[in-house]
Amino acid sequence: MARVISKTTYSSLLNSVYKLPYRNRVQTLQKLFPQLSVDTLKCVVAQECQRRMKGSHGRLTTSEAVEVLYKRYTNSISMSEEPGILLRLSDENGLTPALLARSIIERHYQKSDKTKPAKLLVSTLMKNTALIDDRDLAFETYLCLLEDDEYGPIAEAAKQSIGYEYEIRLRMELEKCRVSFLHEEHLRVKGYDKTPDIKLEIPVAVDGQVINWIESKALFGDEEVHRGYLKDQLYSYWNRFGPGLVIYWFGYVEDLEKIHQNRIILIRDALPMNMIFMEQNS
Amino acid sequence: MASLFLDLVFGDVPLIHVFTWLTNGTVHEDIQELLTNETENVRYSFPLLLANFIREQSSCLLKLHNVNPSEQNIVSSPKREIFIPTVHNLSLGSPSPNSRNGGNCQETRRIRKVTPQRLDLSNDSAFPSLQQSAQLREIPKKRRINPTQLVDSPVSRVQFGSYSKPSPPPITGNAFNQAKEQASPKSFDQERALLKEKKQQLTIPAMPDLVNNTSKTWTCVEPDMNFVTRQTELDRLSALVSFCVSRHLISSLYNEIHFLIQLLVIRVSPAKLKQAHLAAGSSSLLLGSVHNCVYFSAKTLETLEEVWRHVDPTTLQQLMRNPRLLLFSPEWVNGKLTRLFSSLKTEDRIPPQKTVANVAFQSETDNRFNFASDSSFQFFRKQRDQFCEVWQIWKVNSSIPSWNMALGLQKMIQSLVDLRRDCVNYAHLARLFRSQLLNVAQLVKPVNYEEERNGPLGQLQSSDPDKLRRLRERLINPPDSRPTRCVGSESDIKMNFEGDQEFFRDFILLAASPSFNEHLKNNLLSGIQDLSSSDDCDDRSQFAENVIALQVMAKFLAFLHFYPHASADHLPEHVFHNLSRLRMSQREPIDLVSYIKEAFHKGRLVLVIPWVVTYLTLADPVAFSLPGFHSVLCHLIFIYRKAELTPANAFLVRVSLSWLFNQPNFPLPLLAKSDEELVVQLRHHSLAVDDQLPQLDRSTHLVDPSLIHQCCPYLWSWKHLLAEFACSDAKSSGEGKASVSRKITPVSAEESPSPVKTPNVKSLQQSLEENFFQNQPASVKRTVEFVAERLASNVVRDIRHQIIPRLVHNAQASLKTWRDSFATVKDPVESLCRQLCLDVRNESISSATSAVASIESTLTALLPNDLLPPVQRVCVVIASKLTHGKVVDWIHLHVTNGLFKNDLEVELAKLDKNVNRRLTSTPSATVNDNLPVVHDPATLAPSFLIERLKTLIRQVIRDASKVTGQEVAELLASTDGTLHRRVDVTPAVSKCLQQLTFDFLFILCVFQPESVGSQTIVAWVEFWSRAYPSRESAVLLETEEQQPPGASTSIWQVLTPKQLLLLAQSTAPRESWTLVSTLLVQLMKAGLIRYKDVQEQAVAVVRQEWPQMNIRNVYCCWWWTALVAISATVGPPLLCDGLKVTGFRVPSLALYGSDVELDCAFSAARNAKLYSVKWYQNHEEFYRYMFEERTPVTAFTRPGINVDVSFNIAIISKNIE
Repeated sequence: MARVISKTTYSSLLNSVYKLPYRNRVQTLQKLFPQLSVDTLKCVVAQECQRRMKGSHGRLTTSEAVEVLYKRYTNSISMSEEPGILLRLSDENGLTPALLARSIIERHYQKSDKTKPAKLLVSTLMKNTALIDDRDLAFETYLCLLEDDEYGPIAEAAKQSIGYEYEIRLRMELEKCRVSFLHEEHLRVKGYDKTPDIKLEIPVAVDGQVINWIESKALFGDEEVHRGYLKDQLYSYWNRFGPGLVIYWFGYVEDLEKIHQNRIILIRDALPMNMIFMEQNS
Repeated sequence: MASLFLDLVFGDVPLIHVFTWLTNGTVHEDIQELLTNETENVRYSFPLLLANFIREQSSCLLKLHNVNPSEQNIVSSPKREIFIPTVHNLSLGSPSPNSRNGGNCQETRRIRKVTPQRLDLSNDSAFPSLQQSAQLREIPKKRRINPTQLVDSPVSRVQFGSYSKPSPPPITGNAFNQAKEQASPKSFDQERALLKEKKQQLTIPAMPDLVNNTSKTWTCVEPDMNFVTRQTELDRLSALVSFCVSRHLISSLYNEIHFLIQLLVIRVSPAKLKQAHLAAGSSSLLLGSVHNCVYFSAKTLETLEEVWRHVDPTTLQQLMRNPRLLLFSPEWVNGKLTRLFSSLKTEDRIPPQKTVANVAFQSETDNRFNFASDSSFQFFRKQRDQFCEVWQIWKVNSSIPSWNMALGLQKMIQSLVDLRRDCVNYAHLARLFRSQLLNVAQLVKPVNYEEERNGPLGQLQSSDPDKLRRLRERLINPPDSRPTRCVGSESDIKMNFEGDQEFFRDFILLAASPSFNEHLKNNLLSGIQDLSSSDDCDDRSQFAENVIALQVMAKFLAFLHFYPHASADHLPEHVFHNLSRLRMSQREPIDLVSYIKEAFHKGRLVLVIPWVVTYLTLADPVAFSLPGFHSVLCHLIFIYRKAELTPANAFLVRVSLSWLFNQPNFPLPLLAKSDEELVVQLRHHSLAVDDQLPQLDRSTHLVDPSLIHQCCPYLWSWKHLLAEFACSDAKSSGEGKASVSRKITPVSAEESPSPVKTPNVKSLQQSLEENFFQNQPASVKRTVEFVAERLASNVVRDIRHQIIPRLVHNAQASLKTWRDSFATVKDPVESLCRQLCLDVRNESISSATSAVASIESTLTALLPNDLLPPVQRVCVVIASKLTHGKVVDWIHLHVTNGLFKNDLEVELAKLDKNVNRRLTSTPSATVNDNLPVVHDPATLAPSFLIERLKTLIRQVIRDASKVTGQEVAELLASTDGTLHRRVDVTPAVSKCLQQLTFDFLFILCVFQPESVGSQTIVAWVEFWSRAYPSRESAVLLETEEQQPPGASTSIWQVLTPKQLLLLAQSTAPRESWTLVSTLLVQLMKAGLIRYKDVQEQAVAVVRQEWPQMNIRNVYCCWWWTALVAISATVGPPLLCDGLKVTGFRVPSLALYGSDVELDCAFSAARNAKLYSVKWYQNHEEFYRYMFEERTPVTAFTRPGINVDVSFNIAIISKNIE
């Protein structure tokens, strides 16, 4: 299953993502792009969703908009509609279920002077919906959390976990190859200001390029994502440690390396197995 | 004065007497009368005057060389102006636009330019001159026809004048014949036509107007051996000059050779010559004819063997193939020069192949411990990244003409430099700046000879250098808009920075931050200091790196220091005077004299002089007149005359110095001073030259032509002169700035470790030690110090990372016990700190002692083998002592009470917080804490498990899909596996799994009671209590504090509105209720859920209104009863061991307004003392019985409740309104 995608495939993939309805897009895409791996598709969909939310979240959650949503919600409750009210509202409105639920909770718990409740309270309630004093809202919220793959405590835990899992996997693979390295926590203890996931203590060469560090990214690398990382992390590593390698475990768009200009940062979708080591025998 | 030279040259005084006189001042009788009219000092000014004499002799001819002033802008290098300082005014008829000092300077780079056309590659007429040029001899002599090619004949340009062809015999002139041979047959007709035309011209004596009329035709005088007049005189003159040059009497080595090459390549059109002859009658001059000039030049160049040994192969090649030289001294060119050339090529330096282009992060100097505070560290992280970003942006954009650095980067630079106005940040930024500067500044390299020659551009270079030059010029500076990258106008800044160095200059200018400048200055100074005294110069590439690094640092130091004094204008006398008075007491940032002196004594002139010269060449005119400079310059002149170095080193030093002496601002009178007048105290200082140190000046392998050319880029002008000549109008000024770059990592200049503090009084032991090292090889001392330093650093690291964390951890633990045992000490932190400090010091000392044990073996391996055993022992002892001293110093400086205070206080605060939060504390992450977990990749990945559970729950609720008991059991097993046999489970994930599994089981209980048995519930609860043990201590420490509502955030929420709503959806209510009850009971039994929580939850449930669910209401109330019953049976034992509630009676339903009896029966253990019994309604206490009080019963009046009080039995009447 391919994880490295050409630019044209990626743009047609994105087009289909835009066209499809929000729910269950991955299954549909699987049929459209059977050659691509499921993880890649999931990732692309998730990233599209996050991008969409980044763009529209502010607009959709102004106090006026939330007020309207809340009214509709309370109306539906008083009409004793079937459970899943918030889910239906989410489909209609475009906010992902968990974000919608959060807005509704904020509104529900708003203080007497109409200010928002404390953030900590809201996240506690999101984490453990059983604590919500309104049983209908609690249940509705719970349904939303189950449905949302990008936002909400469950989805976030899963996402966080997957990043960490791949980091651990990378470490283990490196250990298996007998590469000596320091990982993030070591570096932090040593007081480094920027800490790649892996800093090779003895550099290795991959495809004719020397690499000094490795960054693991459990997602799909498209240009926007990659540019973001370049700016925040990868260039910083390059500045400090020289050329390195970034692994997008769920694939990436071809020719991404071109935007680095003269700074060498390799991109792969797995740990390359053709590493050349420094000769250790004197 | 001129008469002296005339007498000398035309007379027959043996020159040997003149030479002796020049060398040691002995006046032979033969020359006595010549010198009668002269002053004492003439011996020292003689060379200078000689140089002037030659210039005078050839001046009228040189004047003619300057044909087309309008072309000069293009021709003369935009980067550098060359002036010949002269005592007499040698001003030109057409003053060079570049000569700022008016008549005092002469633009020497005068190129014969033929057509003033715009350079245009697409236009064939851009390459016309060679093809159209014709050469004439002087008018009265026989003329020679030069074949010409048509203007528009584009053929064979590549081969034209190719250097690879053997030079044509002298009689047919030069490479121009080649053109004819190679010319395409097609153009022959046209050529013939032109030839005819030429012939016509030749039959008529060349007239000035002829040149003007046929503006595209060129004629110039071709030198001929036969027409050389006054050969003997010329020989004598040549001998004089070469003696002065080779004995370093003439202080402008660079300039003299430049001048000689100029004479060699002189081209004068016969027409002009004729005019000039008529006007000045210059034929009487010794160098009044082209033939004489070339002859003189060739003879002199021939004798300057020393120089040619050190120039680069391309220059030599040019020289070898110069047709005039070949004509005038063929045996030299074909003999020695060729041999020299072939020997040089093999020696070409291999540039170090470095690929690292970034400044590496050095944890020793760059990590958090090198900063005063976290915020400072974080800010510098940003600064570092922004700096690199700015540099990258510049690199990408600097070649774009329309890009303006000030517009594009000024804001960014200013914000990054002053991001945090703190000395630590400035210092770090300055260090980064310097490192990056050294990193990239070394990339400015001369053309790699081999590469250039073999590539396609190289072929162009050999066939048509001019085209190559224009190509380059076009690439580098597009015609319309050369970007003014400099902040000021181009003319404003006289300080030349090439290539990437421009970035750093502009960075400083744009940043405009005085603080940064100051730090940068200091940093550069310390860098120069370190490198100048650096010992790692034995290696050739290392040495080259150091020399260049020093030059770059000196250049920027000079820039920082002299930039404020730079002026684009020529300063009028009085202004100059005022300025110099103002700066009379200004102190130089760097004590050059002491550097020079030290270098002289240690034999390191070759390392020091290049950067000193670089520094001084950037000095402004006023600076040269300052008294502080006077002594520096005197020293330099002295060194030029007297220093004894190996040839290559000497050449580097002298060429550098002569370049400095040629600076327009240089006070010339100094050069004429005698050795005595220079009052240089180099000799008197200390004659004992330290022989232990490697004498860099004496080594023969360090300096090679490529390094010389790198250090003295102006040497390229020699080659340019020759190349221009070879290709008439070609000038490859671009060559100096090579596109081929080489990367060199900077030498990291760390602060030299501060020596161990020693008491002021020198003990005998110390002086013994000093003497010990004094008499040992210098390497011994270095080794001992190095070993001690490294060892101490290791011990310190060990202390920092091992000992301190361990002891602090212990202390934190004891802090906990203190809290629990209510120790009597008032300020535990203070006393603990004191104790901790002592412990750390003791442990550190012992660790240092154990580390010292390994010194002996280390030193034995490192010290010279031939050291006597006792000497080695002494070294070991000294090293141990040093190590110990360093460690102790560190401990005293860093291990203080304050070091631990913070840690302990934080811990204390954490403990306090924990006490406050203990109810909410959910155990997590304890999974991996205790045992090292062996990773089992076969278990489910946490993210996968989360996804799976989520999907299952969703399916059960929404799609009512069945989950079998088998599946539930498997899920339990895999969750257990994931939690306990994986290393990649984060606390957040663990918590999420807790929540999900609980939700899953509860929902299964509700929706599919048939697939859940009580065994399943028991198994799960058992799993939870294992994976998420509740903290018993938290229960024990529970006090009567009131919890804020909603603070109870435990996962195990069985009785919340949401759960009840779920329960209400159950299709088999009774089974579901039973299962949930079992779940609740199990959770309570396992201690995961507390009685109080259940109570609270129950109360919250009752408070809810359940309007629309009448039928469910029954369940609810029934269930409420059931719950209380459970609490009665299970709950109390959790609270207190000795107490047991034996009976509990509360009616499930009551009539509105009727009385209700609430009954609670309990039995206490025999010794147990019961404190109180309390009744609550909705969190509000309404009845209290205190067993020990005199009036045990307290009833609180609450609306709707009247309490009827009787002894030992509480009767509550509740009036429901």
